[in-house]
Amino acid sequence: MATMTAPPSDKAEIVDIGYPYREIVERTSPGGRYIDALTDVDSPWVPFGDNAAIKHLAFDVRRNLFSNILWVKGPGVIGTHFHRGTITMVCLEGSVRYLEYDWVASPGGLILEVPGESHTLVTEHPQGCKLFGWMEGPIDFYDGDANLVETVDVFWMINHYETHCRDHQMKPNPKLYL
Amino acid sequence: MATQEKPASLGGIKAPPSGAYKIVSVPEPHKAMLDQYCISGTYVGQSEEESPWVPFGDNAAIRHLAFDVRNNVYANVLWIKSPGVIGTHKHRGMVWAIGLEGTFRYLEYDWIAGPGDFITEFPGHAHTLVTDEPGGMKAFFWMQGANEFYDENGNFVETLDVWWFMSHYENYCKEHGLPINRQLYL
Repeated sequence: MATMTAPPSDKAEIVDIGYPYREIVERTSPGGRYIDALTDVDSPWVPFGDNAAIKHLAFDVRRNLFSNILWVKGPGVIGTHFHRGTITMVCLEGSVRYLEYDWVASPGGLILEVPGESHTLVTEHPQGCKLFGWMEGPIDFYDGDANLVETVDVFWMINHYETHCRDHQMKPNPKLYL
Repeated sequence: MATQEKPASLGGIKAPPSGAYKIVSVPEPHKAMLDQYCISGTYVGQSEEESPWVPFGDNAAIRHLAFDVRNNVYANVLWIKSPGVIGTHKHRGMVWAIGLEGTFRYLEYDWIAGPGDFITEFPGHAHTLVTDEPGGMKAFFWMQGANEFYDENGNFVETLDVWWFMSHYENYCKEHGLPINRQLYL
């Protein structure tokens, strides 16, 4: 079998690949979609405490997955939390670190987290940080005395988004629901 | 990739395209990568040497079959030995199960699962597993993520996930001088 060393076509046109099951895909798949993450057109900033906000981008209730941008607006902390799923995040602006690790994430940097670890998110950047995340739930949040306060998952995220929509007379955007 | 000749009728196969009782060498352009990185599949037979029944309370036991720490996935056989209950618990990941022996049901639903029956459960559901069979039940479960257990007053007690299941298995092995079976670790 040949191997691919570069994209095998540079035709700027749609090539019909003859996929034999396209009709079934069209009938049953939720379909890919584009969500504008730079503006508030598709999804507003929803306050998360006084110094942070979340822009919800996707909810998948089948796999307890959610995607959003976390914005910490100035130096601050998202207290210790414990993950039971896998997390992929990209730092978009500012900088951020976890007290548990020795690295500092800066724009463009990729953060991977795996089930079973707890950590404490801190930004010391004057403008805080923005983090794009693709996350698998749940996440257990603790108070400063290590008491479990709430287990957050895709349903918490949906509620956070929809409560804000309701309070601001906005219609929830069906694009965010996979 | 070189253009490959398209099969005459794409999407038309009605049966496996080979019935040859032999290993057919399939094209593999990245064999060196697979040799170095591809994870081996596992086999866990029925013997207790391969994986013992680990007590889960007085009337139940778990036979652990797989732990996947990357995906927080765990697979096992649950055995409830006589009429009994696995109290209300809430899943935050997905569950797949097939009944093996006896029957079981959830108080929340109207079906009863027997041998060969297949069920799924999605994140966000809490349910209460019971068997009313004199001989109890056995079922194979494949689960992802957190599984929260509550007492009979609805007080949260503990969240079980792959780490709990691994600990359940390893502690039993340690206490009984049994070797850890690496086949259980994906």
